[in-house]
Amino acid sequence: MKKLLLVSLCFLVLCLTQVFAQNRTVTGTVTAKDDGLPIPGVTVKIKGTNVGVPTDVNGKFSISAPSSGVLVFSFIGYKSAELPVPSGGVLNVSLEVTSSQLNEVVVTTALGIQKSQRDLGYANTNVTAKELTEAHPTNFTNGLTAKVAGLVVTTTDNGINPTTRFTLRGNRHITGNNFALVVLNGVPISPNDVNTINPDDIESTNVENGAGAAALYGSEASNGVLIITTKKGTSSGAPEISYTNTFQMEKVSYFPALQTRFGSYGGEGGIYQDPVTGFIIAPVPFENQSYGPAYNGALTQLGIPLPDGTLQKYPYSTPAVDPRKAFFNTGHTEQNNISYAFGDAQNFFRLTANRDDRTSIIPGDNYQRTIARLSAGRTYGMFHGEFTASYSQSYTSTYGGNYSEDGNSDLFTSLLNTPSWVPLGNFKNTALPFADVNTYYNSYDANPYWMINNSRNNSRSDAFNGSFTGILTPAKWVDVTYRIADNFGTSQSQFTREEVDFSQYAKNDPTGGYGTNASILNTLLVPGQVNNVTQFGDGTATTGAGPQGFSRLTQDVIVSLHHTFFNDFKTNLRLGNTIWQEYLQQISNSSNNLFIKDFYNIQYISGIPTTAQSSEKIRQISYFGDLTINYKDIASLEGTLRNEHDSRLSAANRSIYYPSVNGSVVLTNALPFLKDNKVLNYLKLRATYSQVGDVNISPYGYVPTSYGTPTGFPYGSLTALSLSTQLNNPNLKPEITKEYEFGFDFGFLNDRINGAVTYYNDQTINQTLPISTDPATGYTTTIVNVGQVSNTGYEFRLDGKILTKSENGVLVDFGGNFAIQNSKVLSLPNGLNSISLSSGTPVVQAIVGQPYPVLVGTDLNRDPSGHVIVDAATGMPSTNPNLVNLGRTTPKYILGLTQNISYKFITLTLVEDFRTGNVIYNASLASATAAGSSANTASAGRLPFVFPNSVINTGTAASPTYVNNTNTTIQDGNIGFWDNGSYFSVNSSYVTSGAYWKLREADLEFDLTQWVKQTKAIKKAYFAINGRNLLMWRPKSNNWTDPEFGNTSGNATGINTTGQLPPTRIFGATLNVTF
Amino acid sequence: MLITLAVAGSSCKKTYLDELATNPNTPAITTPDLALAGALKSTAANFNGTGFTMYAAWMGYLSWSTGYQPNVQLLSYQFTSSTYDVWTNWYLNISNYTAMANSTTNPYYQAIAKIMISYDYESLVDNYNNVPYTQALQGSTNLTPTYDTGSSIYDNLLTQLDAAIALIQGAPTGTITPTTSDIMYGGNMTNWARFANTLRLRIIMRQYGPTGAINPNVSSKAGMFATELAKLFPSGTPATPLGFISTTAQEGKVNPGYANLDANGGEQQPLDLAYGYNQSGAAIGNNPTYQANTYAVNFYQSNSDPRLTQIYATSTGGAVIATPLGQTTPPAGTPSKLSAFLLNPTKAAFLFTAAESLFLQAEAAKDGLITGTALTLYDAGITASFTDLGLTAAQATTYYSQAAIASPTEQNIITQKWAALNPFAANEAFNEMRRTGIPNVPVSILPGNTQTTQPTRIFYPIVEYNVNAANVAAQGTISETSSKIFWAQ
Repeated sequence: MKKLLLVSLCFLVLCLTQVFAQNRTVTGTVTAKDDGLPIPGVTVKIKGTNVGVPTDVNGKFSISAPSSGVLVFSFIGYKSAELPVPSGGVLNVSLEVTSSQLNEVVVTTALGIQKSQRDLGYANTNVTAKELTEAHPTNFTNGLTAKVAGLVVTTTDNGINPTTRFTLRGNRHITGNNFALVVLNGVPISPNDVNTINPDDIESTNVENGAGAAALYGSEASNGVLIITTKKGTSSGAPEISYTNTFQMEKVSYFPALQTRFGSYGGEGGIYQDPVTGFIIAPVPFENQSYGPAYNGALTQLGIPLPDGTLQKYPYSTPAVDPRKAFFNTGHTEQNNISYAFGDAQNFFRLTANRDDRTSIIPGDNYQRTIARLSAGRTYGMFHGEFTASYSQSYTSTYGGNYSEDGNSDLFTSLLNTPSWVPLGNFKNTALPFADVNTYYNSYDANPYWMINNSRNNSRSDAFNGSFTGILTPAKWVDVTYRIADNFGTSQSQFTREEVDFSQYAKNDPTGGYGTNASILNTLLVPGQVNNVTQFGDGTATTGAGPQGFSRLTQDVIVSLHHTFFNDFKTNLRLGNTIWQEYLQQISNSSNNLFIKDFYNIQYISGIPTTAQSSEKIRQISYFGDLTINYKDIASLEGTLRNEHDSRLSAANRSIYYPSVNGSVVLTNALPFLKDNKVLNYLKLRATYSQVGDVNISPYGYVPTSYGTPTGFPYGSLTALSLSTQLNNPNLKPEITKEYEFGFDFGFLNDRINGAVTYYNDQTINQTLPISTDPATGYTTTIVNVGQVSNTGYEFRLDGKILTKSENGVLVDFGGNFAIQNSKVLSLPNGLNSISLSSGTPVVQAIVGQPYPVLVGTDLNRDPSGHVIVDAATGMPSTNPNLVNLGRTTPKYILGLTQNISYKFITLTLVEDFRTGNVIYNASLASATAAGSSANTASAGRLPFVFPNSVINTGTAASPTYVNNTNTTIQDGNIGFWDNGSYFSVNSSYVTSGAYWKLREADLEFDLTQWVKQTKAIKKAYFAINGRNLLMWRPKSNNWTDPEFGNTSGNATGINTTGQLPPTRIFGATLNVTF
Repeated sequence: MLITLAVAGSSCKKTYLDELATNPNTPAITTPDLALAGALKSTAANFNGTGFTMYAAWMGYLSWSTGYQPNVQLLSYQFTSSTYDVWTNWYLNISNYTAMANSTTNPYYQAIAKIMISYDYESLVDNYNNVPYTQALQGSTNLTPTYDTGSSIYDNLLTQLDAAIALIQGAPTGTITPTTSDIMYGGNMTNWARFANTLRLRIIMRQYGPTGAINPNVSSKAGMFATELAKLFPSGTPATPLGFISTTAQEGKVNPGYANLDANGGEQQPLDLAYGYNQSGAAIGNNPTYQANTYAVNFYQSNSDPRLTQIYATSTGGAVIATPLGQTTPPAGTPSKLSAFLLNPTKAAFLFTAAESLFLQAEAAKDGLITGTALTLYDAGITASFTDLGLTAAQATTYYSQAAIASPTEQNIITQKWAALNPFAANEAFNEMRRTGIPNVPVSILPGNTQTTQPTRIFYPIVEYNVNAANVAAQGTISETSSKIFWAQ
């Protein structure tokens, strides 16, 4: 490598002696052959040089060229033209539309290499800036949803700063990272950083689904790649200023189904129970559960009396607006975006600023984000340099926990534990009686407004992202690219919780033995709490998981040698080296013993603080080569090889090779009988094989033993160490994904109908799995490199231009994509049948022979045909002692549709998506069932009922006979069934289908350009009304929440909890003006 | 560019990657002292913490709080293999003693490791009967250890304890003793030997029934027991009998410097962390969910036992207010929690009390297994319990002079042991109940509870069924009502 560079340096010097011929100025106009209209933006280049100019808005150009030179005119969608410099100096050119635009589209591939789509041997989808930002999402991955076959973007949580999970072709790694690699301007960035990119800065996103397409990234390639290229500047020579304002509102759209018929009672004691009927005859005023008597409208005591005996009474009925729904606000998002750009063929400059202000549906939660990006580029003779840098700063403020013993009870839990007759809105001022910590009605939970007012998570994130690329072209057959990129940031967060001062009255338990918060805590004072975390990394607060959270410094050096042999064989050999380092450092301190009220500084505590520090560093050195051979625009063959050395692997296992090969044949160019076919104008076959990896090993993971400080230590000066419970494995290797894919791209009727079909088959071996071990081994976990997961599937894309605008002013475009994603766990270590990714039940598992991942949990005893078996005497179901596979948690069928209908200046764009084939577990429904607030608990009016579709065993246990149960009712249709017993306790009661249809985006845009143009100052303008997540259709069984939500953005998908708020709808308007 | 490339391409590459071989976050080695302090503290936390709360409830010490929904696993005995796990913590604790033993050749540390490993294994056998022993703790060498029978493990523990005592007695002059890291005995190796000897007595006595006869399941061990019992008072070198833990100064209790601080996960003593209050006085752990049990409260009250208010907090009016296990309606007045005396955050955590040792000796003497006077030992046991609970010897004398208590019958010895173990050694009380049937604690009164007898054992933890399935399956189907520990009645 070093030698090679020296050689190229010599060439560089030699080439400086280039001789220039005499120049003359050529002017002219470029028009389109079909309609004769001028084409702006056509590149006019002197052949064999980098010298060129674009045509202006009137299609005119002027260029100084050697008299013996040749000018090349090129523009996307048109056939290039090469014409000699005319002696008269005037050259008018008309360009012909290409037979296939798909042939010509140039996309950015791995390492920033630009390639014609025609030459790619693998599936890819290019998403334009327009498609991405149609509905103005604040996180660009949301803008990709439903637009790429095989890309599944999941908004795991709709909080104030939503996180997304994005995977291509499903989950290949059981515990490893399954996020698609995100490459920004040629350099990988952390998946967390997608939220620090201004969607309006993105020129294009090229989604390459397969491992093969990303193979040059070696151990980061296995999940496919999103290649983002940011906007550069104008090429017309004129400056352009663009301003966009988007204002959107967010409202709860599908509130979980709650019951509003029964009030407060919680099940402790028997004094409120009618001894004959078993019905509850009086509500319990301080109760958080809703298993009480039916509402009757009578004025009823709520909560405990004040110390002076004052009672609060409210009608025992649900108000017109359910107070739990009324709790949520309308959230607002305002985005302001301004950009300034100019440039010409050699130089560009672009500066943008984006401001995003949000308030949440939760009172008090808010978010502000500011992003600025500067991009510039310049060409000096044989040298071309580009620079881009962005800085993002965001502030987030969200509610925190309460003052209960664990401090974890969350807001939605509090709401679900509020009987519907409780007028929550009366308790906003938490200083007032009946709203304060002492006399709030609920004995077991905090006033949700207390959590909002007095417990906050405040965080600030600063992220910098920048890269510099220099390209030296000393001769036409060689160029050398040097790129250095850095992304880093800090994340600072502080959790504060106010001191709680209980009164002696509350501590003395005015409920008469049931307990109050104060009496259960048995204290008059819960001191304030503070938790500070400072992290240097990628600017987010994530730690640990996979590649996330790390800052990254990357350097690439690539030498590209190109030559055409025998006139028809274009070859390109790239040799390169990449070195990167990732680094993360986190320091935290916390105490729950602040001694000054409302003063949150770790220095003012009694006792000592809890502190932690960790730092992790990863380094990697790799060498790669890439040889591409093209034959006459007909066939293309590419082979790549990367050799990688990674610090996370022990020295003996460190050198890993990652090869790939791909090829394509354009049959419409290759086969004479298909050439110039009017119907089938484009047909390309492609195939790829690759073998790439995933280093799923934490830094220092191969050091065999480690010790940590045991809980409690140090006691004064007494220190101690205890053995880590994880048995580290020094022999770990990267997980290897072997993938092959086949496919074809086609275009009919001059590409009016075009599409692609791809089949892929991935085998990921060496799964790195932290398996539980028998504690009798001395350790509770170890890590092994065993296990195989297979992912296969099909991806389809079909786009149709039904009507084009040039014909009658109406444009109708339909786009659709569809993916079938199969996965199967083929083997696991040590003959294990399953691996758990979460704890407790239900548990998300990888099970041999099953799709990955699946949900496993408890279920009722059922007969062979699936009917629930109930007891002949009590009518009650019983619990199956074995855990049951409840279904896969990732969708199998993913459909995305877009419609684009335009008439004159009005354009309507709709995006829908459909997912099915998966199940979800609604832990929040389980929580609401325990609370008696979910609608299902009142489905039988709290009366005895026959368990639907149940059977009774009239035979013996050994030889059962199941007969339909038509009249044996459950004896206690109230708390005894819904909050006790098998139905309540088994997981399957809360599992629903994960299927949905969503109207994901809608945008109605009015192009105002024709009116504003007259002002001369304004070049373009549009106004749009738009929305996201407008409508959702779910199967009847799911009346609870958005199936997309989950409690993790990690691999253990399929479980939503009370941490996820009810689904929301976002709608608003956008105004754009371009000067 | 050329320079950086040269760096990458040259031999620097090895350094560039290898310099990240040291984990800056966790050390890779330990010392015997660091390991000893950590492991002893964990043993105390395991024994006194929340791991054995179910036994405290079933043995009549504590009740489920009436302010909470009934816990059917506890109150209807509907627990499963996922409900209780004392397996993991004991094996991890053994692993740390093993790491200590591996970090030194000093015979004292070796002896302490053997003693404490035996202590832990005894508890494992008492909870699970057959457990991995000979194939355990081999890390990646054996990820699926087979099980040894409880009886054979017991036999080997006696050998291990013999060896430990021999190591202590045979240590060369000048052998360095642990000091501050020995948070139980401060390096007093004689006390360590007594602890080992008392543990030997307990292991032997566990295999005798209430009548003083060897459990029929292990009757073939009669000869061995005779030999082992003789060894408890070695007649050879050294001539002085080793003796047992017989005074509160000799009892096994751990105190690393417990303090009323919430930092580092809580520096309070384990009983306080399990049932008490945090630094600022707010209830933590099991405090809100457990309260005084009528069975124990009635026992102390009916015998005018002053330990009542040393164990339980008094409520309004100075009374201890308790509920029977399984009651769901609140009693009149605020139910009592454990006393401030027991929950004193700085109090040492017991591993082996003098009272327990003396009651063991009393029972062995009564049955003629060891020399000594049962009555003297019995009275001394009660006195030791009173002393440990902050009461005087005179109060103890008054107490054991009562006619119903005075005689060292099997019933009285085990009942008094039960009364003395409340609540920090609930596991041991449960063991003795299963061995002798004493005391006969009533079962839960939760409506719907159909079980009429105390559980005979807990299930193997779910992790065994998940990762060591074949070997746990070889133990057969475990029943919580009929599977017994090999020594149980």
